[in-house]
Amino acid sequence: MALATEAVPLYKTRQRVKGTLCQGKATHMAGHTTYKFLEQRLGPNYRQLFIRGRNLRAESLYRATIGPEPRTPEEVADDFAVPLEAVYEAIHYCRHHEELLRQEREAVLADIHARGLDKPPYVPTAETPDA
Amino acid sequence: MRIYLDDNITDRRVVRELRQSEHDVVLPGTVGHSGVSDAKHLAYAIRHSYVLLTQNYQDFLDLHDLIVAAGGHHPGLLLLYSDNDPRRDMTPRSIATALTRLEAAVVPFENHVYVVNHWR
Repeated sequence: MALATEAVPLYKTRQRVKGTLCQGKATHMAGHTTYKFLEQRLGPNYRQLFIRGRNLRAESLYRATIGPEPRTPEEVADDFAVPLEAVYEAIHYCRHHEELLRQEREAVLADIHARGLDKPPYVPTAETPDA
Repeated sequence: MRIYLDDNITDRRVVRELRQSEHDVVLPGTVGHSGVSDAKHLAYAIRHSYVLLTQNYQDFLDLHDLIVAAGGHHPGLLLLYSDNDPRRDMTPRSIATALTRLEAAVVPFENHVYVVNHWR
């Protein structure tokens, strides 16, 4: 079933309560959801979806809503110049693919370590001045 | 610091914080590059001597490896990653502070890759 292209847009199925997003009744049949604003990108490095037409991972938008300074979906849409519905789709997608996102984050951390990017001169030392 | 922002970091709050910290920031949209390939983003940064800031770690590391293997040069790559604990993700302000600290450290940028999270 094409979720976001149905008569009722995905973003209208949610309500914002006390700073967190409450998932509405997201339709999810046979393990497959179709998004209007997200797309698979060619290439081996990321399996997660990107914002259509932008070099922008779904997780980048999602994280802006849950990080140390969480923003509303409306603020994220404005700050990243994307449709509000795209933000809701990114949130929906990320909440339903947490294991994939975790695996991709772990791959990045492993590569940083393998390349030595977590050691001097690629990290500050005791002599590094503060900003 | 002269910084070209990849599409994935064109967050208005990040842009505002970087400019308030007196960094010279260029956005893909202002140079007609919104939505272009990673290679084209990096090519622009190379041609105009901007360090490139991105959250797409893997894709740009591949380009870095290719450039270095071919004996080429780039002005530098700055990478941000999402922490497993979202509470440890970098804020727009902490990104700007980290880049100012990195610049003050007078480290070599050409053909080098720095993870901004380490410089918070």
